[in-house]
Amino acid sequence: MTRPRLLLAALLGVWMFLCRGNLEEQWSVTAEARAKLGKLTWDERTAIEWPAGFRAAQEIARATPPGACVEVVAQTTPEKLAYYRARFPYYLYPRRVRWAIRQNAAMEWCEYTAIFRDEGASGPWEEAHLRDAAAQRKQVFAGERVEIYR
Amino acid sequence: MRFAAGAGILSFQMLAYSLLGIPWGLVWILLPWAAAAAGALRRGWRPRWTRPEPLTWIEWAALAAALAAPILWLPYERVMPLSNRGWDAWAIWLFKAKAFAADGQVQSFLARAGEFNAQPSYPLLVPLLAAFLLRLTGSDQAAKAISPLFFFALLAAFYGLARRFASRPVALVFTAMLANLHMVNIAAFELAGYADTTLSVYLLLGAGYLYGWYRDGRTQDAWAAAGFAGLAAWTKNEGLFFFAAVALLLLVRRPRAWAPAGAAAALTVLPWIAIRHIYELPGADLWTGSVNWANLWPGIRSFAQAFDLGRYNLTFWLLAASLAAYRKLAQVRRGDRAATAPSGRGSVTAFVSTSAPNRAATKGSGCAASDELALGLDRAWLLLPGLVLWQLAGLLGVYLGGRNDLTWWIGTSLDRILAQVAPLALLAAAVAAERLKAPEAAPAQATPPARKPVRGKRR
Repeated sequence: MTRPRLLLAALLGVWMFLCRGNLEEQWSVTAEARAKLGKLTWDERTAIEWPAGFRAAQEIARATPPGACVEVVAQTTPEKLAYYRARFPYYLYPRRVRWAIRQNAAMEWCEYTAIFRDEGASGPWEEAHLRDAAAQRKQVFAGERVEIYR
Repeated sequence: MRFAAGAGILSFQMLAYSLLGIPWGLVWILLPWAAAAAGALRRGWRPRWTRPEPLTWIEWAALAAALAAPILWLPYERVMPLSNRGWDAWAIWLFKAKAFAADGQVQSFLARAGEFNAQPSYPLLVPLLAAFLLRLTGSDQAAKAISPLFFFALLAAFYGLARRFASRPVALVFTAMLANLHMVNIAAFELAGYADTTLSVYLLLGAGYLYGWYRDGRTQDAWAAAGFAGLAAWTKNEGLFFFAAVALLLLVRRPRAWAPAGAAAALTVLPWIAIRHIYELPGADLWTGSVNWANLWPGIRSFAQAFDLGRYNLTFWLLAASLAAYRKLAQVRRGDRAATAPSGRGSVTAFVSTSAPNRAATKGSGCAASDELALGLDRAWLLLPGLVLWQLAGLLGVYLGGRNDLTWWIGTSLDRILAQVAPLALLAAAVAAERLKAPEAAPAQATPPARKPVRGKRR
């Protein structure tokens, strides 16, 4: 057993000692993730991570053709809106997605309009104005949190 | 290394098919690969397998240690969907992949790129590879596997390079250390679908082959360095900065090395620049056009994060120790004849001009047969930490002229940039560690056999 090998072994030992906390943590994180998600479908796993948004994106994708333009009127917080603006296109491509920040500007841009009421949403929401605008169009889908008009 | 090269070629194949209007059917994509494999087999190519020497106890220990983190992380990555933590994966890299796969080409998305918050100017290697996996399997999970695949390629590339420059125990121990490097694990498995692990493979290979060329003078190393640096540029914009350094270092050492640098630029860098121009893709728009010196000290201070033992273990400590001990390690061990370390005069000149025996060997067979290089730490080694510092300097430059809030920016970018260069830092430390060993255990290919000249053009 030569000195360089002992030095190498010591280096590896110190390295593994320093990373043992991360490995222990990953052991439990992996076990927890497998127990929680292992038997679910991919859609169910994604829905756990991102409940309202993922279901809304799925419903819009089912109710509109791939080439459609969809205007999404979202009742949500500004932080979540920024997140949805980035994430919805992933599930809705190649649809053209436009976002209405204020509902009084809604239903002007696209063939389809999706009204999405996020869970825990708050803030100003002019329901009456929205109803008036929607009354002039045909409803093609109505779900728990999403209504789609054409 | 073949995986990394093949992945790069496949991405260009997808791009070329798209631009030429050839459909992305799997048969069309795989046909040239099958033809190439058949041709190679017909020419008598067979997988080389030589029975390795029996492993010593430390090599067994290193092999076992190398499995620890991957065994814990891989099932986690495989069970997780694209999650909230993977913003860049679904907003940028895999979003483009999904769009390309859905359209069967790149032009439709590029024409609409301004619609999306998806950084349209970022290069396309990862999206095109992921699009291939999507078309192959139809699964987001398969596309996300691109990061773990490149993680294992990273380990293989690291071991290959470390074995070339160091003995087997050192190569195996440092590969095991890389396999258990927490931030590299996070980039590969938690942030699966990002481009950072892919980039770290190309940075490592580009720098490793460049060092090999400086050290041994073999022409094919210069081509490999330029090629992998070009693929780094085709992966992420940080790679473009890296490519500039590699091209410069090729040309500074030998102006005639314009051929690999120019070919890599023409094949990997310029097409994307042209496409960006044609489609008028908006840039990331990070640069304000002026330097904000108030960011200098906070930016530099943020680099202290590299010494965080939890995320980077001893990686940057070892790099710093190697640099501090450079002069000592550079002493030629055989006798007391000379030192290869540059003296106080003209260290930079000495660094780029490499050592006299190496140059003499280069002119002859194309290989360095200098046992001084095998036994002492050659000055070309400075390339490895130098390229780490170059990448960090580039990041500091972005911090100084950047548009974003510095604290937010450091929080979202620095850890991944450090993870990109950590393998390179470890390679530098591995080469330095080899010099602490007894001279009898020489690196595998430090004194390569003389090769036949290729087509009589050996310089």
